[in-house]
Amino acid sequence: MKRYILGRLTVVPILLIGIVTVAFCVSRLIPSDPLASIVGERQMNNEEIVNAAKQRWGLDKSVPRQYVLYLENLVRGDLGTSFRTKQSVVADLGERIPATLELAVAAMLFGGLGGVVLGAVSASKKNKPADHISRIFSLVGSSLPVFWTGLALLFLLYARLGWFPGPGRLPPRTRPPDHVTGLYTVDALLAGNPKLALQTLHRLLLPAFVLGWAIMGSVSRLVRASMLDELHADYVRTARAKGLRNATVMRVHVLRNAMLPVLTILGFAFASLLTGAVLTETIFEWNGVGSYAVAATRSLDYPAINGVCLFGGLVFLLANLVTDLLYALADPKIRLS
Amino acid sequence: MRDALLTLKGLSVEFAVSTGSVHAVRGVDLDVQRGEVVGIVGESGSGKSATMLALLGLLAPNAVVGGSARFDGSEIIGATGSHLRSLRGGKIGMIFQDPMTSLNPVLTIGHQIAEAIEVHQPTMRPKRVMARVQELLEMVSIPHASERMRSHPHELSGGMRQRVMIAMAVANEPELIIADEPTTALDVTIQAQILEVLADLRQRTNTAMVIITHDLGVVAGVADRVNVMYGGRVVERGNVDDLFYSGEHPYTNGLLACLPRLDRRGQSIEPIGGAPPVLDVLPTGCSFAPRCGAAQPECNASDPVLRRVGATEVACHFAPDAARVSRKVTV
Repeated sequence: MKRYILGRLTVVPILLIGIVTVAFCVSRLIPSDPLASIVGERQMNNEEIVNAAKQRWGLDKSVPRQYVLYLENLVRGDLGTSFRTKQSVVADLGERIPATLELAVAAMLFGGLGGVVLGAVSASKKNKPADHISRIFSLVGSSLPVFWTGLALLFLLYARLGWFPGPGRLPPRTRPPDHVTGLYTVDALLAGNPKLALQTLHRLLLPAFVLGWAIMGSVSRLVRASMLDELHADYVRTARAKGLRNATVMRVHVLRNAMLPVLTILGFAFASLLTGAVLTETIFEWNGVGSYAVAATRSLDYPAINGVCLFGGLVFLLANLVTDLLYALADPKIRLS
Repeated sequence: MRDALLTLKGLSVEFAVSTGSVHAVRGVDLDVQRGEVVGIVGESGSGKSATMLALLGLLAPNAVVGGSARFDGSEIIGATGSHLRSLRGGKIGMIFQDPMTSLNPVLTIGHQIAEAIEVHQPTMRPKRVMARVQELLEMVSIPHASERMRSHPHELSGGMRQRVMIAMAVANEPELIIADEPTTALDVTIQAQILEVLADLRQRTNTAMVIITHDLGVVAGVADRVNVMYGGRVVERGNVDDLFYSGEHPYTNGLLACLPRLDRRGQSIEPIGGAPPVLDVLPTGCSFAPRCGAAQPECNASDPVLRRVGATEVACHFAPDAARVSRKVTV
């Protein structure tokens, strides 16, 4: 097991260098000049300013040289300075990642847990009203675009009914809690401010539900199909022959076996939540990685683009690794070696 | 006659399918006395497993069960879910055919046996439960029982897994064990071991058993009485020796003729020609008639009922003459 993890981890740096290289090349291939966004359109004719900017941001050097410099800095843990925010990319990401992480974890609780529960209910009550209701619910969630559900729920639950607060991670005119983890709900608790923790949690619910609802559909459908497949297995009959209740058979025997294919989807879903929540982040004014990535791309902010790609690659690699480990835990037949 | 432990009267099983219904079991009468071992013999599709699964309500949801089955004095066809659950694994233990697939692959065998105990004896302390699991594993001769408890099914051989199934079935000291093809998926040497475990168990606990098999050899070794099933009906029944030495039904004789025998070396074994009936349409007359060497026009006209002929009860219009003809044909 340990050797397996170590083996997998040694591949990670190689893959990351690959990801960085591709990201570096692709962003350089875009036929546009980042200088325009650095110095502004109007200054583009002012040769003095343009040259100074080129020198300042290292764009006067040849592209291969830039690449080597970037890699050198990368090894030291320096992702460069964002053209746009003029802050180090590491610091930028350090602010953005916790926001996205908080949202993704919460969305995962809705989508992953909710999807498994819905799927299990569907399978246990196959073709009964509970099955139909849960299938329609998950189908609606996965077919509606998140920007629409996000706006519709904001309109209804915030603007009309006032049950939920508006967009944003914090109530207006509120200072964020002292930075420990960057997750506001956790930090507020750590700072001994349960009221703020509840407020931030309340603000988290709606965007997390919107994101989670979208993945709930695919998860619950997979759980349902997988459980119905398992129902025909001989060990299910054995479990019934022991005198177990149907619900126990479903929960202890069927669901555990049915979860194996679901794990893969869950890992992948979590990774996509961390990297692809742009629309939800925009609608809910959530300053996460997704909105950062979009802003970086629009201004052709090379270091920021590379930084985001690196983060995305790392997330997917880790998600895969964790999925593999969970597989080994869930299926005793798989012994990692 | 003393009270039988299990009495089936006119038990029938139909499976609703898209084209109508399949009559898997058509009126089976059968009884099992306390402490007795009863064999049910027949080929695939003869309804032998369906009969027993129907008792415990373990058939697929599209099965319709009719007739009556009394266990220990109370009716169990159409009984409530909780009544059936208290019987399953409690008073009636079940052993299934394929130990490779009949155990849950992701749970340890200790867990799976413990579960069977806990559901029927919910007040038992976890420590006591685990001690009992170990005791059960030792009873079915699994070496290093305390370590084996933590194994998953794939870490055990087929024979060991079947021992685990048996341990699970007897966990709550049942009055009846139903073994559905307990040796079919196993190597011949392992088969003998498993039969020994069952015989040993019976001697120790005096539990009644129903052994369902297509293998006459298995029945000959362990059963007291035998029921031969064909086309969803019992076509012959009697004590094991009577049936083997003076079976009257042409089908029984056909089955016996299929057995390889040491005292008839060099002779080829005789398969029964034709195929078993597909029971989507109820046949008129004797369902074995199309394959019977002694069939007469009357066999297709009316369905024979069980009647005593010689030492056994047999459902054949022309017994005992048919047996003579069929013996001539098959032997």
